[in-house]
Amino acid sequence: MSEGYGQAEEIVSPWVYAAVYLALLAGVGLTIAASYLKLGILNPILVLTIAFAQATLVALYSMHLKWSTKLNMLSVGACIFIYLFLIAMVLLDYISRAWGSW
Amino acid sequence: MPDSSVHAQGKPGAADQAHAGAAPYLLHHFNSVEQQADTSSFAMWLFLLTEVMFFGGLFVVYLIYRNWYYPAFVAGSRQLSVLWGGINSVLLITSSFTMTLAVWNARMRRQGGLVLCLALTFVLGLVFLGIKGGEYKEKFDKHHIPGEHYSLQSFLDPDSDPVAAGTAPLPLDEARHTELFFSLYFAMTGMHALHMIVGMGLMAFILFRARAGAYTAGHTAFVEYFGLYWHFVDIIWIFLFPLLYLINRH
Repeated sequence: MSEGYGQAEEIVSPWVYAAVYLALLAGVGLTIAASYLKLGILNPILVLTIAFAQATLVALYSMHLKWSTKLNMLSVGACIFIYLFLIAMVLLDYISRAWGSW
Repeated sequence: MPDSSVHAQGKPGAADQAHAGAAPYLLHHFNSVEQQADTSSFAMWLFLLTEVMFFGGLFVVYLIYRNWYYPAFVAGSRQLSVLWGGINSVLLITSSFTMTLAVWNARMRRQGGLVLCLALTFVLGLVFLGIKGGEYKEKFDKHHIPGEHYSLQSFLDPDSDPVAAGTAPLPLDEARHTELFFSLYFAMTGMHALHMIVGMGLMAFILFRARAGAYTAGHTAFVEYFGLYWHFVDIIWIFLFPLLYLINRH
């Protein structure tokens, strides 16, 4: 009966959650430290990379996406793709418009 | 009312017979508990993805204006306290951790642990909102709330403000754009706080029901999906903190 369905009953050890928790706290420390470094354009890239890594940990482990159905994983992937695509389209307009010339 | 529907209500239908002996929380339109769980978790994820798009719009506005008025965004960001923002990050991440433990306790059918973890999550959320309220109050006192009484003094004359002292003054046209930074700051953190307030209302309800043993008898769906919502709120803060508090701190 359960064939084709997800592993909704997967029980994850609290130690996994504790490890993720410590990694997230380390991420906060790293983000603050990184913002005090003089890296120019790399600053926002570095702090956003840390934020994406933290968000991925939360989604995969805290939100159980790792043990979720393929449909859920595909939906999240599609959402991220569409969101990045929309940002790219907005930025295309932003960088290609002759600001101030009209 | 036609006769056929009277019969349909009076006699147990085929679906009801197929569910004989199944878990009492299995709804009649699902084949199995697994199918029910997968369907409802998919619905919850879809809801959260619409929320990603909702906050996503605000992040795009932030991205464009930050590029456009970078010096104003740096000066605005320096007005925020890294200490309080950092403490709030730790609080929210800790509340996310206690929420995962709440779900684990529900699945392990430990009522005491579930109630304790939910209560801790609630208190951590409350402290987060308290600190956020303190930060808003400080902005109110300094007239940094966008609108009629918005003050440019901290940006035109930084030495008059201990937080901004030592930084270069902004020209008037650039200083005016700090109001845009604070508009985005209040829109984004305010919307985030509103999500937390809604979440805490739901959490109070769950806590009340958990004390009556509602989620420790095998049906943990409500706690689990609420957990997804709470973690999502955590993820939004993970992005808000560096983007608002930590622009060019060196």
